[in-house]
Amino acid sequence: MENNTVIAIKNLVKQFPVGGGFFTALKGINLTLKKGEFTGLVGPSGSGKTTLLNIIGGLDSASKGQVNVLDHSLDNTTHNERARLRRKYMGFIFQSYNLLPVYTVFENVELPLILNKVNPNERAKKVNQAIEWVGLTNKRDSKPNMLSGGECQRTAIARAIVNQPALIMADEPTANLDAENSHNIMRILTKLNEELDTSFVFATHDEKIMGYLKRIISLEDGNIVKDEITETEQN
Amino acid sequence: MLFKIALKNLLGARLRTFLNVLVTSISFFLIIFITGLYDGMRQHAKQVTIDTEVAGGAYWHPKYDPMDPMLFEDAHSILPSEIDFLIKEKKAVAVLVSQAAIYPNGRIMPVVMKGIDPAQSIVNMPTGSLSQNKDINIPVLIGKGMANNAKLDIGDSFTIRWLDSDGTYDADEGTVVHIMDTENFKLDIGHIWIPINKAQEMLAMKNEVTYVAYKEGLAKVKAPGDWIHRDVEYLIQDIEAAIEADKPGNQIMFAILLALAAMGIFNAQVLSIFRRGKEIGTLMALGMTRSRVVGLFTLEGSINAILAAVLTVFPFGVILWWTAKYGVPMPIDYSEMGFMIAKRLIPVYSLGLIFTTTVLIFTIVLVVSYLPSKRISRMKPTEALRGKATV
Repeated sequence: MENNTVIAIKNLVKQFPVGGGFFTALKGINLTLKKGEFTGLVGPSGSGKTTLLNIIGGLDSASKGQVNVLDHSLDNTTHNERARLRRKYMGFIFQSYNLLPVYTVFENVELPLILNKVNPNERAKKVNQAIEWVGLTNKRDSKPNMLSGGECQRTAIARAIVNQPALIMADEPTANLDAENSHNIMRILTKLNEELDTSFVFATHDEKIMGYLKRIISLEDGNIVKDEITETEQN
Repeated sequence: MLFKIALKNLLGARLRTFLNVLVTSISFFLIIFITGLYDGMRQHAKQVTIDTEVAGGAYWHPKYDPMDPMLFEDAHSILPSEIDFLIKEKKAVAVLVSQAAIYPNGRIMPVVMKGIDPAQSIVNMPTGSLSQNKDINIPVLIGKGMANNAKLDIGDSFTIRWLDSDGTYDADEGTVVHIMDTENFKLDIGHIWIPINKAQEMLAMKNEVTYVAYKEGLAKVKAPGDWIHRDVEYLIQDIEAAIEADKPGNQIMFAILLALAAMGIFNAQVLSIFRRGKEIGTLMALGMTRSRVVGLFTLEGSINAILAAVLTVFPFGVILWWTAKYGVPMPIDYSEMGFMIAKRLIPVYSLGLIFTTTVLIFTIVLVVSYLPSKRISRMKPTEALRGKATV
């Protein structure tokens, strides 16, 4: 694998047991993503984009094929090894934010650092920096139920970037947001991508964000039907 | 790290934590209170028997058997000098026991007639009332239960018939001088108490007695003759046997209370954990391992149990202390039903009870925190993230 390759997937097949048989969600995916890419997995519901994202993130495992993420093979790895990989090198942004309701913005963002056993002083510094990045300094002590949808997603972004991971995966990050908030979120993510050189993989079918993506991989019925570098990237 | 997160989770989820802790604490309190009440009831029965009957122990006439009234007519004699000395020293009280029949309101009732020194202070009985009116031929002290059964009141007279030592039946009129309110149903029902001098005169058994109850703390006399020494253990063996026989029932009751508590705690904990399936999925996505997820929820459960123990001490502890000091008033008088239950029951909260309950509740909380979180942690993170956890 080349040094700047973040994700390398060969002949990936994912099957789910359904009734007495299997449903094949991914049918032999081959894919390589390089460092700093801002890539979208797009396609209609059921095309396999979230499944692919989950496998890349080590949240699910492949039925067949090879998956290499950040120089770590995910084939035959234990749950703990995949958890360690996520903890150290990955960030996640979910459609429904998945913030812990009893924590404040600060505490939600702090959580990945606690899991990584970062010392309290450094933790506070990094959390404040991440919160500032997403423009939520004045909301640091608010709990999720006091935030708007856009603010919740910005908190989730701060949580994803606080550890400065090499790879961030976002599953429909703008699906629950209005147009203005969607654009704000995408502008933040684009800025992060450019300034931190973090690789992003999105699973989305939101037309509003297509313009921000530098590479679009279209999936249909578990196959990659199109893989294109966008004008954004070419410019 | 886990402790910090667990504490943050518990403090953050104020209402949920409060309800979980409250349910656990109520379980703690109820088990300790009800079992303590039950223990108190048994302790009370034993104490009442000692106070009103047994005192520090007894010397029995060799033929005396309280369970066989047919032997009463032979179970009397003059006391050996050492035992008699105890009575003269006011360290013991002599009782003369015989069978008799009374005829209150035209009915016949067999009773145990006991002669006792009215001035005694060895057993807790209001015998002083027997010497208050010198004009009464045979002053009689009876229990409240006996008074109810025979429909007798203070001042009522009735015929007493007895068999004296010569084998002659005789009869005379007795008058109720006092109705004692005792919790010892054995004294309350089927007994009449008269002054011992009068009893000895009626039965033609001058200076003879059946048994002697002595003060607590006295050593056994060296020469009791053929009289048999009975210590407290022997004299309360029927109560001890009743308590022993009652143990399985007590254990079943404890188990039922514990099971009810376990169900309450299980319900609250499982509901709480399964509602947090998405949170568990998020923690896994952020890189928390399965074992740490289980550890986190188990730790939350143990902190929950510690908080419940603190809540049980305060404010429930105040209730426990108050009931242990002032007792719990009983709604009805159970002594009439043949139960030796105080009108104000003092629960006994032994260290053993508190320790056992604490250990069991902690174990239950740990198990009901560990099992569901283990089950959820075994799910795929993707399913947990969708909140698909089910019981």
